[in-house]
Amino acid sequence: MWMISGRYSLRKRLLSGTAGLMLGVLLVLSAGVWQYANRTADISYDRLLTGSALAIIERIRSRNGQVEVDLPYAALDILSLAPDDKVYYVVSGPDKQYLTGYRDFPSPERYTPSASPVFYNTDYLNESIRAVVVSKRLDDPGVSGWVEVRIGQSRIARNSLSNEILLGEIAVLVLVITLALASLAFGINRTLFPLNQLSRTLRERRADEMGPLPDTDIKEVKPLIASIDQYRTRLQSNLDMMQVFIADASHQIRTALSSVQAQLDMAEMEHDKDKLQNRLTLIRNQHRKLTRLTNQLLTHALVAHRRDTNQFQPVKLDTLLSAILTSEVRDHADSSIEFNYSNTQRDLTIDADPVSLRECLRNLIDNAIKYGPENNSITLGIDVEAEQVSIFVEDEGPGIPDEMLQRAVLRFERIETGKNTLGSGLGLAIANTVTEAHGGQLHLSNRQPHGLRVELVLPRRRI
Amino acid sequence: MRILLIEDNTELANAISEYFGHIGHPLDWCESAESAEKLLAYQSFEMLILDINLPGKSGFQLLKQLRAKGDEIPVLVLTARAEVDDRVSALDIGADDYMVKPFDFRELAARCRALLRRERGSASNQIVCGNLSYDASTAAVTLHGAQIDLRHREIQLLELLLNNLDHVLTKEQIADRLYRFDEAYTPNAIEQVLTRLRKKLAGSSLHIKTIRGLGYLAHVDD
Repeated sequence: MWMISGRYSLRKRLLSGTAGLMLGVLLVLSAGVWQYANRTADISYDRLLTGSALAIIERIRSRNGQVEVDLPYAALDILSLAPDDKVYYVVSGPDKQYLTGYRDFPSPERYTPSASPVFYNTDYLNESIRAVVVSKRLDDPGVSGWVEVRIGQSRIARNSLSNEILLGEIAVLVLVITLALASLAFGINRTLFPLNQLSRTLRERRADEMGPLPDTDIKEVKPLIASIDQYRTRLQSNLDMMQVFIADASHQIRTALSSVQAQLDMAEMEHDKDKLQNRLTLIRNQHRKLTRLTNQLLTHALVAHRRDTNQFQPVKLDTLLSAILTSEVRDHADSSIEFNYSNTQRDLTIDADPVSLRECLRNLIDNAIKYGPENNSITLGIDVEAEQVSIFVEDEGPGIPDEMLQRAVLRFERIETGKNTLGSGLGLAIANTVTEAHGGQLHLSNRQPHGLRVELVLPRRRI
Repeated sequence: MRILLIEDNTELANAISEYFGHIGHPLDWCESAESAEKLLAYQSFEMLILDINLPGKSGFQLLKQLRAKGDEIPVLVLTARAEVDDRVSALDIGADDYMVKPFDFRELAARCRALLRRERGSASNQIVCGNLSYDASTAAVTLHGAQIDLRHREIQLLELLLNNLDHVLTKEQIADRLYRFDEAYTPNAIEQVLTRLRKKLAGSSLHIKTIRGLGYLAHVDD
């Protein structure tokens, strides 16, 4: 498998892959066919050469201590089956004595005289020649030794036969491969049809049309459709939550704004100085709530954004947590709230987003202060285990009724509209988003005799 | 005290000016970093209140320039951005404190006083924290104008806390300053000194908070 880079078409890839493979097969087969064609042509024409050579050598004999050659006309006639080819021959007696024919017609390298014909290729008079040599032993008194006949023929007929065979075979091969590719292209189009149909279905759908996609009978496409459906369901539930969230937030902001507006209108008509002062105090309180709400909404948007952009870095928890606690103590130094820090692992560093963590913990501590008693005792700390670390905020406030804990977990993304729970719901929504972004879980539990423990259970290694 | 406010929002700047004038600390105001540079060139100020989002050169750039020149003037940064990173980077490039808009004017004034107190405390021997004042040269402590009697270790602890307002001091840091290395002390001893000091300073603007597991933090609420 090779690396795929950039965009590519499945159809083109399948086709070009197969075509490449087939071209390779075609080349290998062609080489084979070429070999076969040459061999066939050689066998046919070598037979003629042999016949001719044997006919000549048969007519060599000794008489009176002399070697005689009676060159038969038929011997060369055999070769006229290849009318355009030239024929060369030479006959020699014992001790390479030249008898007749082309005196310098080459002999094969390293030839040992033998009665069986030996074929060889050579060049003669600037032509490529196929030749045969055959010998005969004469053992007569006076004449003793090997006589030899070499006869060669140019290759025109031979080559045209082999080309004829080659072209015929290759034409058949090309036809077969073209047919195979055509049927493959058809098959690929048929296979990819469900994908095309799926994208058409998705394209033609309205954005708010949420039913499942039409089912398919194709086993390989089923999981894809199921995944798309699941993804759309999750998206929809996020959108629904977001819509509820925005509706609740708008309601809360408008209510607070109109209340400020009303108090301002009343203040304008107020002539009594003391009453005016009271109105101003009310306005200030309303405004403070509005500010806190706005800040929390923006923080929630911020941590959600940071979750999506993944801004992780090594964070030394001791430094981060003690800085958060220090600034909280400074802001509430005039209160009688007791602050505690619980951390036995001062050197622990985890992969985290420090900005999100700080916002989240500040909100949780602010919640504890806002909804707790005057003599509240608030603890920020960590519990470290092998695989995970819990960052927790504990208070001695009223806690959350047990039956509401589950619901609080389920409804994090929603601003509670009940009295006094607005900020708390948002604070928990922020904490939930931040915890999820770190691949952890948010745990809520009530403490004895009273109080709430909010715990961000985070994996020590980044997921 | 001479404070320079650099803020381009006229309504907010007017309101801050009016408020500071009302509480007896009139301040100077300019609308851009460029005009602030001109003012700073020939006038001296004790601190800057610097908005980050300014037309033209940003507050960050002005702050960076000042610190690059080695100017140590206390700077309190105002930021309206929702991006929380601003707060961190403001401190990173040398702001002494920051506030996120919208803020409470009383809180702004308190933060300014805290910065000035730190600045003046290091320049002179007299540290004034609302109704409490401490003279380092004579070791005299007055509350509501009346001198109060403190033992040696209590004065040492008070001075240490006043020099580290709004910062956490660990028990070890306090012990290092209160006891010589050859003096034996129990961890409880510091707690006892602190308890006596708190009792004697009851009703003062100085709050000394114990953060169990972390240390001690003093904060002035005036």
